[in-house]
Amino acid sequence: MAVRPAGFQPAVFVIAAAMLLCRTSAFAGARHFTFIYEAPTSPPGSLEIENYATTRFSDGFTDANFRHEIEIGITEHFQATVYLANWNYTRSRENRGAHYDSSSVEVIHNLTNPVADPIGISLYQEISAGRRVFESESKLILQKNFGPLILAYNFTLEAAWEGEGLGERNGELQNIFGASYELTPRVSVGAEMLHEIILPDWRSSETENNFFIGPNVSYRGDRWFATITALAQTTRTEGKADYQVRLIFGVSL
Amino acid sequence: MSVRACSRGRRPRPLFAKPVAGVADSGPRLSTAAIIFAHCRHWAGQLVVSTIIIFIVSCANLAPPPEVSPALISNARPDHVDAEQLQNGHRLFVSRCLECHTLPPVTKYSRDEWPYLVSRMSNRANLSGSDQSAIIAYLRAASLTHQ
Repeated sequence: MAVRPAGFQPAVFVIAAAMLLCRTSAFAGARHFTFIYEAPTSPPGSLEIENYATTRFSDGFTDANFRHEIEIGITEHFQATVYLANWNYTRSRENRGAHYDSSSVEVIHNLTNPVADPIGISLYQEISAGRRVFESESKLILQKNFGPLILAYNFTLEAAWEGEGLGERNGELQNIFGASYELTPRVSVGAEMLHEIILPDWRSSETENNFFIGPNVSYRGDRWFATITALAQTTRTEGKADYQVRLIFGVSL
Repeated sequence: MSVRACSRGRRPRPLFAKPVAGVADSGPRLSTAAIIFAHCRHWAGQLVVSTIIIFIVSCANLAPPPEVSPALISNARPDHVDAEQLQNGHRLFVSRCLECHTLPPVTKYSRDEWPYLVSRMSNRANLSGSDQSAIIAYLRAASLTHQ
């Protein structure tokens, strides 16, 4: 049964209130990648809204996931993010419509700089909770800049508890590598490569390996940015999306 | 990915072919890159090779912004800036500016262009007046050091 996405009206209210209160805040930082996080954190005092839309295709459209976040720069090396609503829209026979999934909080602590230090390192932690889901996502973010070229790597460990009484336990590991080249300060192009290892019930005997690769493009305006990545699956796993496209649109408040 | 894997059974041409008469040599780097690209028929291989080519071509701009040195400090004397302010400017340049874009070479713009550029983007990077002054002082001094 389709559930009306809870949190939409509070989300709109919070966004509108934040826009009124923080008109003088700064830009929190543009994204060169969509599946990969970069090591630098937002400047202290900055505030930004980012909207994610991830569409999956497998013999036509299958589903779309949406996230709406408010990103806040706390200190020079620490940022916090609140995901007001993570929801999806599906068009399958048995499960059609929009569904609220969860809400999340995320923190990123930057340890070293990708330009001044040999390698830029950041640590990431996200906690999501919904009606029948609880998730923990930890990331190690590595980045190195070579002039206009950005090389980034994320290692992700995800643990999810789902279903009635949160009885289903699943794990996932991800290796994501990306490169982005800044053609101008406003435009960058690159590629992202995602390797996911799904561990149903944390059993290594049922491990599923999926591999995606594809290009990305990013454009940065004066107070906004948009980045899009299109990934194609190279492993041909049954029941997994053949293609996925992610768009992130960010606006500074 | 190896050249053999990319070419999908096609017989690869020699990697370092003889130069063609009447065709200007655009440099060993670019010509080698073009040959490697021609060998890769698979789109994924071309994607990887494109990334490597971009990396090779951009090698000239790989140097990070210069650290604060005695030469840089002496360049900053006309602006009455001390070493501490220059250090602060360097630190802010490599952290705040990086949040939106990669860092341009400090010699890309002149001493007189940097103040306008920094002030134009200061709101986006949430820079205070003293932050702006420190970054401008560092960039003005650094642009002279490396000219």
